[in-house]
Amino acid sequence: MKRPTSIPSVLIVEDEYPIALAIKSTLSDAGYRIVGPVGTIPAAIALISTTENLNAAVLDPNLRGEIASEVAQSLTDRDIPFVLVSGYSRHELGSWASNAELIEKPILDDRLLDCLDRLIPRRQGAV
Amino acid sequence: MSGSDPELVLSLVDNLAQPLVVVDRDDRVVFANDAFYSTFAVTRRSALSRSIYEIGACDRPEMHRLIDAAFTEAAGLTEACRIELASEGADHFSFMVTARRIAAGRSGPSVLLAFDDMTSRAAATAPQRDDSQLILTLIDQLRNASDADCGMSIAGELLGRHLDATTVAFAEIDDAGEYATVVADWNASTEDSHPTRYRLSDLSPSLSRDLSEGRTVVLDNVCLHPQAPEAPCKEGSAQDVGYAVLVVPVRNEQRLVGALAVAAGPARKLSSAQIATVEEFAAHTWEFAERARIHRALHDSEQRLRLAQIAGGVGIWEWRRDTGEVYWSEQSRLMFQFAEDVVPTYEAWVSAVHPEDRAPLEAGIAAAWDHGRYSADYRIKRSDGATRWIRSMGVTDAVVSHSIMRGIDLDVTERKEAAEQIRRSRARYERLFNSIDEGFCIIEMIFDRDERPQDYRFIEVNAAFERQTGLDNPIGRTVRELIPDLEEYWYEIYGHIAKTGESKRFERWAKQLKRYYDVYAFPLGDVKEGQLGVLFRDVSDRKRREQQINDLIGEVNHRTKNLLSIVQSISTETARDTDPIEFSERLSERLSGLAASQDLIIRGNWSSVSMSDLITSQIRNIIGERHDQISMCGDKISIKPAAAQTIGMAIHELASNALKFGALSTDGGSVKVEWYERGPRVVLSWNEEGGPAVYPPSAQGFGRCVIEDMAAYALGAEVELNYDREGVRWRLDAPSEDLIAEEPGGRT
Repeated sequence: MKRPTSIPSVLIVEDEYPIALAIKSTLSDAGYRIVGPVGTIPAAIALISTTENLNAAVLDPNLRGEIASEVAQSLTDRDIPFVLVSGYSRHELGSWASNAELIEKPILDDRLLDCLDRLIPRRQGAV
Repeated sequence: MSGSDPELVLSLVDNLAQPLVVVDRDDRVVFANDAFYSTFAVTRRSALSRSIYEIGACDRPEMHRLIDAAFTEAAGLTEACRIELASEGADHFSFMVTARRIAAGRSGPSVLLAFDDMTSRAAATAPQRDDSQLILTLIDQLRNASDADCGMSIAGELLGRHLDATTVAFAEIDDAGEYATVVADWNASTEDSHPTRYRLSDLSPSLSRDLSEGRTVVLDNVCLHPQAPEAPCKEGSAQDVGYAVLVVPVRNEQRLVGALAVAAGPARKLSSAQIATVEEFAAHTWEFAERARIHRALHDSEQRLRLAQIAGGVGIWEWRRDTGEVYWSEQSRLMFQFAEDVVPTYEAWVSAVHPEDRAPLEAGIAAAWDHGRYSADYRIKRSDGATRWIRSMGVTDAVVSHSIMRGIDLDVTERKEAAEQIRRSRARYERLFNSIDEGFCIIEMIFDRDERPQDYRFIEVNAAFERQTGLDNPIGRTVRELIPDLEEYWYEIYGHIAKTGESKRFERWAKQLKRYYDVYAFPLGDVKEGQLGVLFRDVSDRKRREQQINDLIGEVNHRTKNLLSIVQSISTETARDTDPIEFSERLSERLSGLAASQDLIIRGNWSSVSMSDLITSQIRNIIGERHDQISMCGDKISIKPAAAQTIGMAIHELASNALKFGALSTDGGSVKVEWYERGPRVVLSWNEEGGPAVYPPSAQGFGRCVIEDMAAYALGAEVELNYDREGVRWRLDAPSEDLIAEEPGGRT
């Protein structure tokens, strides 16, 4: 079934409320449909499994002191691309994050949007 | 005078100075004059009828010969004989005695002996070349002879010239009495030379036996160059002239040891006087030679002893307990620095000994008399004030007398000091070795056939070793026995040091010991021995702290970035719903609130923040010190940093709104803040009253998001917000587990 390209939806997983709010504002303004934001691992995994047509995710890899590798795995399992936004550098995060896109905090809006553009059109082109 | 007047004759005879005596056939004195009596210090009564041989020293072969001859000769003066006689007063006289047979009287034939005193005459006239003079000369010259050989040469020449001999030789005779070896000789002509070794039996078959029995042997015709065993020379031989040879044996304790031989050629007869002279020479010279040899040997051995004493710094002493006599050598005297005039005594020696060492030393010596041996090290106080260590050793004389002890003294001060130095530095080293906190060990590398380091053995360890490693009793064991899983790099590093001799400082992990070490290892002694000194310290704690600091720096970096992200978000959101004119002020307020919470979070070491402090600091941040309109009441609880940041922001927004629009905007309004923990929940409420009438805001701004949504989002809390007309009411109800700090002090 062909539907006109719907608005891409992006999941926001970020435990810091102001940051989540800011990402949400930025992505909303850019025309994305926002899923979340959520600040805990269980909430994120629940949303991933219940949301259809999730096109991408913005993921803080450290949620209330816990490493969010499980969330990343869950996204990978569903072929959902994601970008990590973190105060940690890549080598501090560990091997599971070595191939992921990473934007270091504080986040520049343009860089986040560019990153999502890269992740989503490529997916669609491939489909 | 007419006829014969016996009295006159007697008177004449008694007045003669010349002693006269008449003896009968039985040698008894029948008459003597006064001169005889006085000369021989006898009385008439004791002398008459006694044998002439019992008077003075008349019992001499020459006297016998003379008297016998006088009786046998028909008449006339018999030969005069020079005889040395002694009077009974032990005075020696030299007399020329003349014997004459006189007319037989009633008692039969008798002989008149007339004594001519030669003693005074010999002194008055020039010395005669007679035997006694010759012997005196010999004795005189021997005194100047430096050794045995020299003495024999002198004697040989003197005798040879006196006898007009051809050769005089001194020979030693072997124990079997078979051969004679010439040790010194004199020859009348320098052209003459004779063999130096003779077989006695070649000269005369009975020679060896005669000499052994002490008889002087006269050989009339001897060939000194025997070509055949038959000794006598052939008559008329051109080369070998026959000699008269006189051989005098020299015996030592009945054993034949040598001989003096005089050869005079051509063969001639030697008189008995000459023979006697040669015998005398033999005795004198041999005695001298013996003495010279003994003297020489003594001298040599003394010289050697002296050298040994000087070279070894050895002093020698001897002590006779029975007589108290003490001898100490020059070396000993110098060692103790006794003045030269100090008489060697036991007391003098003891007084030099250090007072503390005296008693044990004297006790040791007293005991030494019993078991024959003594050895001691002791200190002495020298006259120059110096204290020296002396080692003395002695033994008692087991042969001559047990009352004699002899021994040596050695100055062992330097040796003692060196030993003490070594002992002290060793003690210092051991004290250092065992008092340092660092572990120290000496190890010996073990290489395999390909020179690869394979293992190492502990040779020595200090007290701290066990503390630093937890290894018990490692000496003699190898590290593979003790730590089988030790990392390879330990062997490689130590092996390299052992091979190259280059010391190295490094830090390494020893996983099996669960310790991290700072190590300084260096080669000890010869590189070939493969020994290393290893100084090390367990720096696990320091390493852990360093890791913590690194972690902390990373964490600070992360939190800073996070905080900047929050600041960025706040400013974005503030900009979104605020008039640009108010933006700067609003943002400043919010950041100031954030900073106040951060202060408390950091002061609480990122682990806990007091709820009361948090609320107070946020309210003060908005309204200053005006407390009268606000009442705060709550349990004493500490909350997590993340929760503190969220609640701090919420209180900030509530207070900010109250000041602008609510209860704090008028003097009559008031705010009541309350919090408590009930079971698994924590409740925090904000209630305003007495302010202007409240109207709900038309738009959902950032402030309201913070108050309403953020707490719910970040803390999993239920949040109620009511814009009652009397005042704003806010209530947060959150699970304790997300809120309360886990650190001590979280609950009280």
